[in-house]
Amino acid sequence: MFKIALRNIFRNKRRSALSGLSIAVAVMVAVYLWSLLTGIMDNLFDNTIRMTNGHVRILNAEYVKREKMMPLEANIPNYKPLERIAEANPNVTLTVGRIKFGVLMDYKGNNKPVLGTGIVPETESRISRLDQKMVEGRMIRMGQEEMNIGANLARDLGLKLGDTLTVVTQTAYGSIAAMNLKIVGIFSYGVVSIDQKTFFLPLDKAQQLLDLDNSVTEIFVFIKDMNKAPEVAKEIKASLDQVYPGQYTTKAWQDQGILFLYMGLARNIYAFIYFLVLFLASFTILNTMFMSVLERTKEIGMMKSLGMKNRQVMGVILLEAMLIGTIASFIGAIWGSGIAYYLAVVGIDFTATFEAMKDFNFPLSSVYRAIFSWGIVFFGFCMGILFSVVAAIPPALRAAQMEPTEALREL
Amino acid sequence: MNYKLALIMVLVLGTGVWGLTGEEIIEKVDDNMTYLTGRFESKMVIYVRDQVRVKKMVSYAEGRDKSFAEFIFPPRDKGVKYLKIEDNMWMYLPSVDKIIKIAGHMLRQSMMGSDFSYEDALESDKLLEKYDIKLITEETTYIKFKKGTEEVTKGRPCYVLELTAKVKEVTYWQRKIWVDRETFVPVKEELFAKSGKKLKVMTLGDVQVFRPRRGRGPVRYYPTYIAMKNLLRKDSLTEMVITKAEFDVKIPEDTFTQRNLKK
Amino acid sequence: MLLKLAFRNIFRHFTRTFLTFLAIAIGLMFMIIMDSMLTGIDQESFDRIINYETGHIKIFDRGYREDEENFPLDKSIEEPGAIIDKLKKDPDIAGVTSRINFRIMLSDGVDQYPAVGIAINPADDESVFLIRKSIDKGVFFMGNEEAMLLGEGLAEDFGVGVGDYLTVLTRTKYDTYQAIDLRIKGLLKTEDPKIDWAAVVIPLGVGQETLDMGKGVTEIDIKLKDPARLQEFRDMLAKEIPAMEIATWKDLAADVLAIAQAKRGGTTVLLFSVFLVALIGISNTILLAAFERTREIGMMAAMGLRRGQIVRLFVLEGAMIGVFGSITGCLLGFLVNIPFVKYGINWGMYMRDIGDVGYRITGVSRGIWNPTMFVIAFIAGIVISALTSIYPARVASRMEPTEALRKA
Repeated sequence: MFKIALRNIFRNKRRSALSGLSIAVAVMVAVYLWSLLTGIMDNLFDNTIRMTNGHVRILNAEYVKREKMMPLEANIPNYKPLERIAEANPNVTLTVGRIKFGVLMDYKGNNKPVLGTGIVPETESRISRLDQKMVEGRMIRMGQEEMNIGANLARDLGLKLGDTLTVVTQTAYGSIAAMNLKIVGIFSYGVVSIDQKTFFLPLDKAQQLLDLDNSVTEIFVFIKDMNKAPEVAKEIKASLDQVYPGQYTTKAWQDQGILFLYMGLARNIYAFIYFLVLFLASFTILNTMFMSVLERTKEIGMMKSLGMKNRQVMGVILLEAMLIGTIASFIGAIWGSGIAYYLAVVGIDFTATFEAMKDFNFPLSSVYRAIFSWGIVFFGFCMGILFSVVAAIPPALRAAQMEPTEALREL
Repeated sequence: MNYKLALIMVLVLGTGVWGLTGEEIIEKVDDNMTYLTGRFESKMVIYVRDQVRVKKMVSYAEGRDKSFAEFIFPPRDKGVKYLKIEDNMWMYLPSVDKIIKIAGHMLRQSMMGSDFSYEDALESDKLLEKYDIKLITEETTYIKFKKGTEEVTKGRPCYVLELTAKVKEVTYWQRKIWVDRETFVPVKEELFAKSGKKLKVMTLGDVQVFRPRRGRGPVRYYPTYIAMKNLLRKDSLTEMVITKAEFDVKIPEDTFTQRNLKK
Repeated sequence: MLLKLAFRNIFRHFTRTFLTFLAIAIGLMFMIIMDSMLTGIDQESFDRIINYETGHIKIFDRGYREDEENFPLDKSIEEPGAIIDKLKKDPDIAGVTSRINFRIMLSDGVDQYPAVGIAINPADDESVFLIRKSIDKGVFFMGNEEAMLLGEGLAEDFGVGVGDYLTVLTRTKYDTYQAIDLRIKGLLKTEDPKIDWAAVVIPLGVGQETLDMGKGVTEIDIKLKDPARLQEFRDMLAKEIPAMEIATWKDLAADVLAIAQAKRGGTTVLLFSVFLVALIGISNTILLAAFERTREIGMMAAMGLRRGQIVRLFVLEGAMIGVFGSITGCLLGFLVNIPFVKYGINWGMYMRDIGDVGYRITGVSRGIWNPTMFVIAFIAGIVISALTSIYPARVASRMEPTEALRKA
């Protein structure tokens, strides 16, 4: 059977090629589009979630009640053991402590509320790829009195790389705290609320500034499947309650901010749109398969008159479909991965668009990058084969059931 | 002379003789509370929710226009200095070796997390200029204050004055001040928003007598306990206790300068 | 004559025709729907800004915008009456209203939280904005009563509801402390976080009195009947009232526009991808079919048809299928778009908390009507079909008739 199938394919190269082309293009689009969408979603959304909330947050129960005020006195003292308790949960991949505090920046004689965040720089790169979001300069380092500032914020305050900003705030005990922080890096996440209102400094310096020895205001927890965050949050809380009854609480990212709500929505939108494109692509494959099988009624008639049974005929057709599908998907996957790679490395550059908008010196991350992943490529490849075969079934069925004479008569 | 007319004249003249107007009362308060120079050691106790924070400072003042304060406790705040010259205020932070001008919106912030705002410190001395002062009644008012570790309640006969802004640029549209009739020391002050809502209440107590340094001169009464309560912040109270006060002492020339902030 | 032949051919190979036709119709339908959805999503966020924050055009006192972040009450429009009356008489203007924006601290006696106060004119605010229609619980205020409408998010934060009181702390125009207790008359749900999570709305009269503004306002807001004439209006107003600052919603929402621009790139890629797949689908189908008709072509050549005629025949067939396909595709697109535009897609049920997002989207996205897209799709369908038919026709017709006839 295999041989027959093979011969059939080569007998009409053009037809095989054409059917293959459809499939290849469909797979190519599926691959690069998904890479691009993942890149966009990841860049704008996942990263933001990871950076501002983590998947699950551990907080002092008192802190949560007045969270908007960011009450420093309701902190997590001696936080390392809590990290370990969280890490004991099998779903957890990473934990890291953070300090969040509000600062009123003096700007042109007026006050601008800004969010200061104490982070552990090395871990931060793994979480939110802060190192990749730098527009200028480098990431901060532990132990140094330095800061990374959002691009918009820097622009609003008229600050440049290398400037020193004096941050003045209040400690948990009402004392005035101040620190001179040198701007060693300017970042842009492409999300207004972050770029306009945030700066980072090393965790140990934040602790020093705010009199929070060995304490943090929150612990970020990252898990394997972020959709499971609410359950994991409950589990971690239960574990914490065993050691520190009632003192701490956990919050999943879904419960956290409108920002995340919107991101959750946006993800759904993108997924839906991608699904639509995939649908169209599969329709195309279906259509092509139908057409190609249709064209072969004569061949089919011949096969039948040679004595092949219906089932065998169908088998041959499906086999052909699978062969073409495999080769075409492979080619499509290669093309797709090539484009995806290009998009991942070079991205789609909008700097020109931004420049065209007047009054616009927005150092928004103006390049859209895809995320290159062999997983995505492989997925596209498999989908292509699967669809080709499935798409070939209806016409194959129809063809297989035709009377030989009928088939031969077809022009 | 008409009998009735005579009676009226007596009453009118009589009132003129022993009754004081609102303005006059305030003027007397000013006289009492103003000094040429002063040096104070004080303690500020801030109660916020269930926390108690104690800060200690040393301050100098020259008349109304100039003052200089340095925090000496707790270690966290040690070396933080404030300078006020007329309507300007500066703050020095030793941890960053920087002088920051407190202007614009910063003035509205609370000082060191207390119930006093920077503005409060700047405005209290312009009452006559900015307000219409009316004496509305006299009553005995009871105030509670701390003397050392004891809580004392004292009843004092007071003039009750109502102040209403006569210019638009004031922080508190209305104030109500209780002035001790005998010592001309304000014992209570209520501060109101334009809508009439009460915003802050200040209580002054533990009035002590200060005899003039160089023999002659009037005796001064000065409250050494001031409590400020911001009514919009729940469970919040700030107390300022003057532990040592010296009036009309010699203060070095360069005390009220920005240079002194950095020293 | 060719036309008749083409017609007959089409119906002779009905299944093939049908498949091609289907490819075109579905492909075009997808393009239309995709475009509708993606543009709709963008449009949504602009609409939100226009309906809740900016109107189409705003008029400020000169110098206000520079200092906008600080809500400078001293840079207000002191006598807005004359301007407003004049604007109301303009037939091209759909609505005019005025507002005061001011900074407040909201307090329940325990905690204070910064928020934004918006004093709106109860009489004409709804001619420009949708505040009145966004009251989720409770009711709108009656005239200038001392009451407030509170953003839902703020209400949740303070744990208050309709009927409760909150204290609004602010400063008058002259920087005097002001504090008023206002009863919550209604809760606002606009899905614009700048309102739901940060705003307190009070009647203009109450605002003017509380802030000691007399008859002044900080802005005059205009809604146009024809939004496309934005620039034109702006220029006209700039000439008529040179002492004031005029800003269009685009000026005011520059940051959101920027993000929309950025997203446009993604949209373009998406649309292009859809187009590509559709294109391949259509052309492949045609090519496949056409190449199978070599024998037929041979016969036609044998019958005396010249090469040029054969090519033209195929193109004609392609075009005709294209026409049917395009019509159906556009029709399908039209029909499917109706529910999209009317009901949209409900993305779901995550409803909670805060943050100030630059890009505003909702739980429901609606499509839009873009006639241009329909036209493009229609033409594309026909053109692609026709053009794609040329190639196989030329190739096949080049063959010797006998060779062609021999092909099976």
